[in-house]
Amino acid sequence: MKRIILSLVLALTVIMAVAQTDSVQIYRFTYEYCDSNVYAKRNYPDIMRLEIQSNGISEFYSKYGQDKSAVNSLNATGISQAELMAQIEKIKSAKAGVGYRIMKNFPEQGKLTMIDKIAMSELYYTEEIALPEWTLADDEKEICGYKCKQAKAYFLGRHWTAWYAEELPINNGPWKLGGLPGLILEASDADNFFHFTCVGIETTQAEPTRKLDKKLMKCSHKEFDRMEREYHSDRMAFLLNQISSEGKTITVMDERGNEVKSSPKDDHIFIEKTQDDKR
Amino acid sequence: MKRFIITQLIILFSFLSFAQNFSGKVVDNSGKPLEAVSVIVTDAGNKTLAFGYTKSDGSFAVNAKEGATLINFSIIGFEKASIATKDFKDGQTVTLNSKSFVLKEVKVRPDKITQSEDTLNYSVSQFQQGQDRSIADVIKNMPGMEISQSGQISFEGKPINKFYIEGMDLMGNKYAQASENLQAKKVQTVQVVQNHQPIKSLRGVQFSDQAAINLVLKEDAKNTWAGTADIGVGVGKELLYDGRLMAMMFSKKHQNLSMYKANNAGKDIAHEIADLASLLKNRQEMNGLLSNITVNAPNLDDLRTNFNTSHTVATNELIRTKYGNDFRIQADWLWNRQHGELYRETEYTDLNGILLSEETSVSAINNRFKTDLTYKINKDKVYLNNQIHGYIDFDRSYGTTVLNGKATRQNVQPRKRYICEDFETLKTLRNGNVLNFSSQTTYSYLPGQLLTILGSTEHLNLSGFESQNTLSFRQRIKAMTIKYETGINVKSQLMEANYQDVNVSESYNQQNIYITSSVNYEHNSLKMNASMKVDLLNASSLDNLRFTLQPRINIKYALSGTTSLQTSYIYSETANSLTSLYNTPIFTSYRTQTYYSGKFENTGLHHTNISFNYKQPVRGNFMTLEGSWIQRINNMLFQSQYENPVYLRTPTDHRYNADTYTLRAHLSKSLYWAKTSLSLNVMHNWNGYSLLIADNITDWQLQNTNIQFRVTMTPAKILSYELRSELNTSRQFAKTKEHTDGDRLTDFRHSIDLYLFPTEKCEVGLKNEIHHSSDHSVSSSHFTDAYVSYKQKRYELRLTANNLLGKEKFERRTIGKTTNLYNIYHLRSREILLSISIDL
Repeated sequence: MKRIILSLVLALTVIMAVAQTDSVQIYRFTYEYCDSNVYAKRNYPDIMRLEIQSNGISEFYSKYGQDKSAVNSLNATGISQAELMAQIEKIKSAKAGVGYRIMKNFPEQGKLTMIDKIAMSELYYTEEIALPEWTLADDEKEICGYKCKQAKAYFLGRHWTAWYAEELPINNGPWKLGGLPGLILEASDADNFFHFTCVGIETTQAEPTRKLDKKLMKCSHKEFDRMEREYHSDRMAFLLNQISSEGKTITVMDERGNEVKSSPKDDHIFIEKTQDDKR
Repeated sequence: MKRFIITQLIILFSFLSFAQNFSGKVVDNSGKPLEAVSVIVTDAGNKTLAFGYTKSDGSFAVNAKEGATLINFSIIGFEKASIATKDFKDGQTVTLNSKSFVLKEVKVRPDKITQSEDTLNYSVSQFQQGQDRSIADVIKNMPGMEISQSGQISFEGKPINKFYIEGMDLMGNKYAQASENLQAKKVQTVQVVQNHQPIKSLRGVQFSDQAAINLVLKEDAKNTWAGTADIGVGVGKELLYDGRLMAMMFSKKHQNLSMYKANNAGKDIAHEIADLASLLKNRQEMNGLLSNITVNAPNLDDLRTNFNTSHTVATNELIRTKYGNDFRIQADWLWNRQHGELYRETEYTDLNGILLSEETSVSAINNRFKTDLTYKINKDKVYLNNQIHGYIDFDRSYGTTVLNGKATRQNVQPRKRYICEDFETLKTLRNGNVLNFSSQTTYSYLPGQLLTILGSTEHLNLSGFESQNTLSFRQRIKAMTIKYETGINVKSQLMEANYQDVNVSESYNQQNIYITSSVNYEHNSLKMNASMKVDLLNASSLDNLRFTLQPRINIKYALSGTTSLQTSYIYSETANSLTSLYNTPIFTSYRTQTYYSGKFENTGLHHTNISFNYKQPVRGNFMTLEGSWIQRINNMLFQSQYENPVYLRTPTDHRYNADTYTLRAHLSKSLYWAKTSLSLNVMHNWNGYSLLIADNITDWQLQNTNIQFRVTMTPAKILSYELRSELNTSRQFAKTKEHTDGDRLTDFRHSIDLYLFPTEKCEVGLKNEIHHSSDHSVSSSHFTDAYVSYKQKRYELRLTANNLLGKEKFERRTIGKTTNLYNIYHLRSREILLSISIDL
């Protein structure tokens, strides 16, 4: 009897030990993110997390953007008109965060994978990590107890100013930024449309990054940019077009019972500015 | 040629001195190449000249400008290595020693207040201090919010219009019951829904500038019956008791909050079941001329002045039917006896040289029963609300007063009963237009009795019937809503007075018919509401027909996400009532007689208001600045006469306009550091009025200033404190030459409440309070109270000692419009109370 118990306990410890290897130690850097697209409508910043694993893989995502239940249920249900409107309301009222997730050194070293959702399609693209050509400056300041130095670069259409900590020899930073001799703890563009500030640093456990979800659609960076701009120029038409391409049809009506087929262009400011973008 | 060579040499030299190439390889102790090692080349001043990272084979190559003195190699998990450039050989292999790396951690601050659209979410745990028990205690610490003595909650200076629990309106206008008895530990978040329009079908049609509060409960507080039982006994001058039994249930289909409270230790439990006026529509029940005799010292806690024996039973039940409609029953009963002792000296501004001294010893009894029955449908297209409201009391006061050395018996029965039926319905038509009908009918009966100083009993019976009926139609045109409203109001009042040889009956009847057109406009940052009421009033009993225009405009403009500006102007006619028209001298207190003109009075008021709001919830900053001007037109001028021992107020034919100006500022700030909340309230008002002194009309202005400052802080885990300071000053200014300005009177009140938490379960509180005045003939007072409490998960034991210094008298001078008073109040003596509170 004793032996059975002993072996059971042993088996259990082994199982637990195996189970524990499932999570890995990560460094989590938390950034407050003021995105002028949403910041005009509310007074609290988005909370972004940069999680760096010891194998160099990093993930960058919004704490608030992770609550996708509203959006996912939109896909799951057979979409009736009332449901769609209800879901849209729900999405609007949910604590909104940016929806993208950026993974660096994934699927392999030196690669960057961007996952995002445009209307109802979940997309991703993979490309080489592009590094800005930084010009180092003399200014210094302290962020989260770390001495930081300033650097400037023109990167993906905007002039960025970054503050990096040499004490943290990690080639990384918020969003697609990186390539400085230390982790970037604060970054903003010249217009201050986008501003990341580190507010929290911790060592914690997380599940290691696994393969991408099969339902994600692969596209190129260019295709992604084009779709994103199409979406913001007329969200309703974009959504209706997507639904009809899946073979479903719906009619959306306004309060007075008129059919709505388009919505006005929203002046979205894209963090990656292309030649056609005004701001 | 030579020249060429020299130039070449110079170029070569300069190249050599300006650029240096460093390359090599980084490995660990075992010789394994290290990837992603940061290589930084610095100058003598530690300035970074160049940098790079090692590749997967550990190799690096960095080009540095002139002045490079040091090469640094660092990577997480290894000791940092630095090599002077002069010692560095090109292609060198650098070995790093492994070393455990500890990240300097910085905790992310949890969000205290977040905002999404119009809703602010206050996290309760972020504002709760160790000593806070009820949710009202915590709301006091939330920036932007205030709670008045009566329990009324205001947001940005405006009373809230709804108090929801889990989105359901269980409490109606008796929400103090919930806010002051619901434990803070049961609440997750306090939501403030700004510009809340409670009627769903009017959202987006009619804007509201009032906010609503919604309590979001913790999961374990929902869907289950929960209760608390508090029992306390103590000793003072008599045996003390304090008890509370509470039962609560909050689920999606059904909510209930019921309680029984008993107390004779000074707690004011009556205010919790009182209707908070801000939530009522036009109150139609009649207010009587008589009132109970109570003595409550201003600015002193009830626990010091209230000699009471109180019992209340209250229940609130809300059932959500399967169609999502609400059925609610509210009922409460109060029995309260309050004993009071007071010495008072009265000086009348408009009667020269008369000083009255009174020594009063009275008991006032409230015996009241109130009930409400509500049925509500609140849907997107339909709204229906039917409420029946009933009230009956058997109030009375009795005692003796020594007036200028002569003893008199006092006895008053200011009784009231009323029943009110309130119906409102709204229907959204197919084209989006809204049709609205409302009807409110009240019958009041107030049989009163008063023993006068002349020895006879005055019987004063008032009865009133009032009905208000309106029909309105709202039409939407683009961003505008236009509303047409028409209404008929009927009022009929009767008074029968009977004392000594006086035996009269007076009546007042009026009918109103009116049409109001209003525009509601909402676009981007602008919200505007303007209306014009055309009113025809027929006071049939006085043979008077009056036609008036009553405009009203309210504009709110959001300057940015954090600031907004609001301004409003209203002209309204004061409602005529028999109690301000009667023409027979009637005793309203045992020695005061008064009457009015008996004619129709055209009184009204202009009200102009402007306010600026700033809020930045992320930083916890809130500010409200407000200025207002009220002009009351056609005020009646009274003449005061003192015909020993009766003070008589008689109307004159003179009418005047009175202006009141008020400036108010409210600032509050909360800091993450030490859970600090700061608030500052400043108010100043100029109150103009006229008096008839020795047959001359004289103009006066009463100026009051009130400044309140409050800090609460938890600087360490074992300590928190609350500091409050309050200043009140008043002064009368004479606008006519013959008279001189009065003296300035300033009262101060300071308190420091200190709370210690030596262990997690133990709590010690020490409260100190000081009152002093600029008038040195009034002595200053110092009070000390203390308690020790021991908390377990389900129960709390508490030993309280009040008024440790045994102070039994409190002196106070006050300045009013027509009277200056000097009061001596009696206080509760030193008392000790042991109580236990158990979660059931």
